Amino acid sequence: MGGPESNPDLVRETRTADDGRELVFWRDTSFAGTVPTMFWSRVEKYGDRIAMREKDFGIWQDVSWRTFGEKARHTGLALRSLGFGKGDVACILSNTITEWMFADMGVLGAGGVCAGIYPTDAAEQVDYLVNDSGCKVMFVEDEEQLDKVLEVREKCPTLEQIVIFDMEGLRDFEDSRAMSYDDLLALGREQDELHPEAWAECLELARPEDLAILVYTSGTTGPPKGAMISHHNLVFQCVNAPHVLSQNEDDERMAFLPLCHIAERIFVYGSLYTGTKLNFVENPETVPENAQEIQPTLFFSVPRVWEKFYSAISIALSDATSLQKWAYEKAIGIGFKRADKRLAGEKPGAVLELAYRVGDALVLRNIRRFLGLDRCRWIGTGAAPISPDLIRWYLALGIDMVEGYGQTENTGIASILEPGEIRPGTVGRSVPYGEIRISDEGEILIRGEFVFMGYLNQPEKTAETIRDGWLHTGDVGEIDDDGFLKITDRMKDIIITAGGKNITPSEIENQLKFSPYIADAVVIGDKRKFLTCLVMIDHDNVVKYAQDHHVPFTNYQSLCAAEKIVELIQAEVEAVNAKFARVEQVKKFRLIDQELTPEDDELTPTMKLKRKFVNEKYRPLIDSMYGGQQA
Amino acid sequence: MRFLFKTHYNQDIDHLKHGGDRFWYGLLLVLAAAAPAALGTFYLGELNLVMIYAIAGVGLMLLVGYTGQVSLGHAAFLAIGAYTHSLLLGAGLPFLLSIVAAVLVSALVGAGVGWIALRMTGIYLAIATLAFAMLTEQTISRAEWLTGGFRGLAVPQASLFGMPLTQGWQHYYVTLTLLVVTLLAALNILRSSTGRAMVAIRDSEISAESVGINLAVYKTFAFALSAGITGLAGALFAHRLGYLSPDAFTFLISLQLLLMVVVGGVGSMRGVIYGALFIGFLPQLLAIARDTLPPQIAQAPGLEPGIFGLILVLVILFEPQGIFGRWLKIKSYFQLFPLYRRATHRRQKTYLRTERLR
Amino acid sequence: MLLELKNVETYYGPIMAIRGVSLAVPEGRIVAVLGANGAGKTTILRTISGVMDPQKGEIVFAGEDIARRDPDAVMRLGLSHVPEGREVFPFLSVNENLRMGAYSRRDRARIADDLERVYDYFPALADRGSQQASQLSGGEQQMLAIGRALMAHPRMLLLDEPSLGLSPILVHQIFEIINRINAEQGMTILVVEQNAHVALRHSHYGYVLENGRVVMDDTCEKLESSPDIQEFYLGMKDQMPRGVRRWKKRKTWR
Repeated sequence: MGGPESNPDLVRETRTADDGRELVFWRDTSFAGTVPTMFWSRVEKYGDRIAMREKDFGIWQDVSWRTFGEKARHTGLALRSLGFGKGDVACILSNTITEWMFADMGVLGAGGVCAGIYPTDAAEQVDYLVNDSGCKVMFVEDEEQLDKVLEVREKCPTLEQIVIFDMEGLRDFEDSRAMSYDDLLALGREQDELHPEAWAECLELARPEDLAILVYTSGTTGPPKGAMISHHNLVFQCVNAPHVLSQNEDDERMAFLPLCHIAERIFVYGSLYTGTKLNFVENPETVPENAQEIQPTLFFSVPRVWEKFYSAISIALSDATSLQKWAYEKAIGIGFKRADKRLAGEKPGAVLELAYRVGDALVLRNIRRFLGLDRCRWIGTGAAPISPDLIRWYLALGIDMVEGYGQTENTGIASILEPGEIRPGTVGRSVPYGEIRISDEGEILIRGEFVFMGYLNQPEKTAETIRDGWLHTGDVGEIDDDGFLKITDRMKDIIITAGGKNITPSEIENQLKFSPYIADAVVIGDKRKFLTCLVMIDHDNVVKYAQDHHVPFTNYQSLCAAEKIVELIQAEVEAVNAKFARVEQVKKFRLIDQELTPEDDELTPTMKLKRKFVNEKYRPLIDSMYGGQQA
Repeated sequence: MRFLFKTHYNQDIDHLKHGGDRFWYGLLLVLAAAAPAALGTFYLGELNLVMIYAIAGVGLMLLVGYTGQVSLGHAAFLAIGAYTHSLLLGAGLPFLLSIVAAVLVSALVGAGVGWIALRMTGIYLAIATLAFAMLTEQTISRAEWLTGGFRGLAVPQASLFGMPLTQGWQHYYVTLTLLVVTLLAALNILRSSTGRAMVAIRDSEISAESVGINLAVYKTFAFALSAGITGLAGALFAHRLGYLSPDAFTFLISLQLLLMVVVGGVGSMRGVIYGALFIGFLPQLLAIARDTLPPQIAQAPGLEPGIFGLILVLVILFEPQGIFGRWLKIKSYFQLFPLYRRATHRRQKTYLRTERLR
Repeated sequence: MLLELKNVETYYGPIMAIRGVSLAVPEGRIVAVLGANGAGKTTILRTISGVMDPQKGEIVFAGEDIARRDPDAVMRLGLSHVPEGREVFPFLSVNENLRMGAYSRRDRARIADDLERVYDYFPALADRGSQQASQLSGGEQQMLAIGRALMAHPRMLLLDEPSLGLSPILVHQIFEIINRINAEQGMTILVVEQNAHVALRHSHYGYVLENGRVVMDDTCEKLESSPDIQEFYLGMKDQMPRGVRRWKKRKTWR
């Protein structure tokens, strides 16, 4: 296991858990246990080293730790001078860009609380979040986000100031309660010159047990809940996680996932702690090209991204010459054999290893380079279920893919597979600094110093979630004899058919998602006689199929309506059905014939279909599959 | 598969863009420098000739490949360089100074040709350069008092830094150094604003004028530069020949130079090297062809130019980007393997005049 | 359907300009293909008329597959292409240009009839019968190009951006004439246009192309009332607190 260099400030503690397991905790005494002091200790340590890079005007421009620190400092001081005090909330409504981090560190450094809002949220959602959190200052990315806030500003009495990162298109914009980020920084610079000791005082405002960030989890039942996460929760994860998922100051990461989601937030904070360089992509659409340029050394992402990489390869291969296709089949076949041997814990024989080296040099390495994954020591997936076959494909390609499990409510990972001990289908063992057990109802429970403080303004929900010191995750799972956790499904999603049978839709959906033609699927069957399914097709792959098989189509709808395409999906569904018992088979399906984006209600910002919304919005379509009867 | 991680704009114009480039070109340089130790006199001499052709090719490529001006008479500049150098060396000038003078005289004549040919394009320019070549040939053969006419001119012994250059390997190193210097100079000119102006003239004269490029100045400069470099090749060529006469610089030589540029790959310096290698091995290929063809054809006069013409036509039809172009396609196939798309280098028919001409 | 494209893919070197386009033109109707620069519209017309070859797909005209035929063969089947930028013969007179349009025909009497009909559609040309084509204005050259195409007595006209470089009044006039030709002769027309207003108003059915793919197709009335078309092709944006909205919404094509 890699980890931060041995360093006298790191203290190791151990304790025995109730079940006899040995728990190992690390504490870093070189800073005061809060995020701003952690950040500032890094600024002083790394000075002129590159902290981040951002692609702008065609070249990668770097930001040193010193500059990063300065911007945070000026942001924080400016906020203080505007009356922002300890415990006040600031929201950031922006895509993942360097300014997000400057603002975040500035707000936390000033003793405040930072809440992120998805840039795809609509104005009404922004309204709710601002009011619920009591937000005083709102950072927005550009004029589009600004317009959302302006639309609902009158309904947000707590909002005092708007700060805009990118002023393009706003030259004539004048508002007494809005300013550009440059102006805010200038204000901060002034303040810094007047009171040079002020920043050091600010850094001492926050205490480890204070609220640091608010992460709003998308509400499937009711409005979003604001998870309150303390400084200690965050620092605890940052200091301990690198011991199971190694990161160090020579690593390069790519930052593009939304920072308002806990996964990216905690990984970025973790990178700040270990000194890993963060490379910010040019914009969300250029992720594949930027991955190729950066060739990161670690990559963590949601399953959708891994599925997209896999389809990109299959599409590219379908246009290759037959020699190339043959070479790929052979190489990946050898890769699979070798991966299977490693998964079974056996050492691959010398012949297999040699064949693999050849295949690797000729074929697999180029594929990894094409995806940008050639330098990766490990790649990680989480935040949504992933098909085990897809993990095996990455292993066959020669990259260790680990899956992790965790929730916003436990500030990051609770369980993780480690490279070298990968078991596809499970999410690994509990991290050594936390505990997991299964309740009598089969619910997964988590305990540890990373469990959050509760939901803002929702004491009943908090009381439901944290009971007897254990976090009730709402997921159902099992732990096997070796301590590996397997997730069955979310409790609420488990389907009980009219015949009383329990079905875990995730299993079926995962299998369906492995097909390159299916992007996502929702299985329906609660209180119904049989299972049906709504399928969202993978546009690029299906278009390729239509082209190769001479199926004419015009727009997305006509593509979904084409007979041959329906047959194609039928075949995929039947292939999956073959792996399940009769009662678990999908009898009918329909295609969602509109191209969905994260701005639609049915999709989460991580491009997953929201079960409840889909069930409601497509009710007539679903009912039609059951012969017009309602549940 | 390689992707450049660009942190500076200058990375776009680096000669050696990444580690791979640096390694292979470094290796090439080491091998070239070590050649005399490994090769016998004959092959060393052949390699020397190839390098001389390459220098001439750099000159011609700058004019044809990068500025888009045709020249069917570059052998004339070879001749001017050779004769000037020999005469000055014979008059007692030191070796290096004589070479520099040969380059300058060639360049001056080239500037003159460029100036006169300013308004000509395409076929008219080709005819003009051909006429100039014939003029030079005639001048050299008539000016017996200077050049010795058809009796010839013996090339004097050269000595560099007091050391007489008698051995093959000495000449080899001189040529190698001058080739490297010329290539670097040419590549640097090409990535400067002058080079960009030349390429702009090739791509569209009207657009070049409209961004402020003085066509007269740059076309003349291109001719002068090209002539100067070819003159340098001529000076080195003189030592190789040993004895100069006008029929060493005929139209056939001009055609060979053009062939080198076109077959190598128009528009790239690496194409020059490939072309020079091709021309260097051409005599062997021709000898083989002569053996296999029936005697009526093999002994026919004008077989060589005929074959050159045929090669030119075939290259233009089937691989307009020359050996370098073919090498690029092969390289990209292996670099992208297994994701090389079948249609990567497919060409479409072009019917519109606006698409074909510039 | 007089003309049908199925799954056509055309490349410019390594770049896919058209990625799987299927469209159909019923006989006697005017179909418009809309799109911004670089969407692939001109490439579609060039692929149909044979100037470019598709890598994949079929093009069926009056029951025959014309996908990889030479342009002159395609033209003799009755498909006349008016290229982008007019491309009149600059050194021939107007009259001679029109006669060149009838190059492939043998029926003298009918040619004379057609010539009269073209002059009837375009009176401006009649006045300049012996003038050199290069001396005509842009609008007159466009009329000449269309007239020349009509002289071939085609079954179908392919018009590539007829409004390019013309004043609004002239654009209007030309499209009115196009409608006349369609109404009087029952001529099937496929028109490719950037000017969405004019195209939608004068056509029956429309396809919207983006990045080489069809994103929407419907009758022109329905297209005109689609919010995405209104915002991105007809320039109508809604009002917001700060004034007219300047940033672009994501396209949903619903």
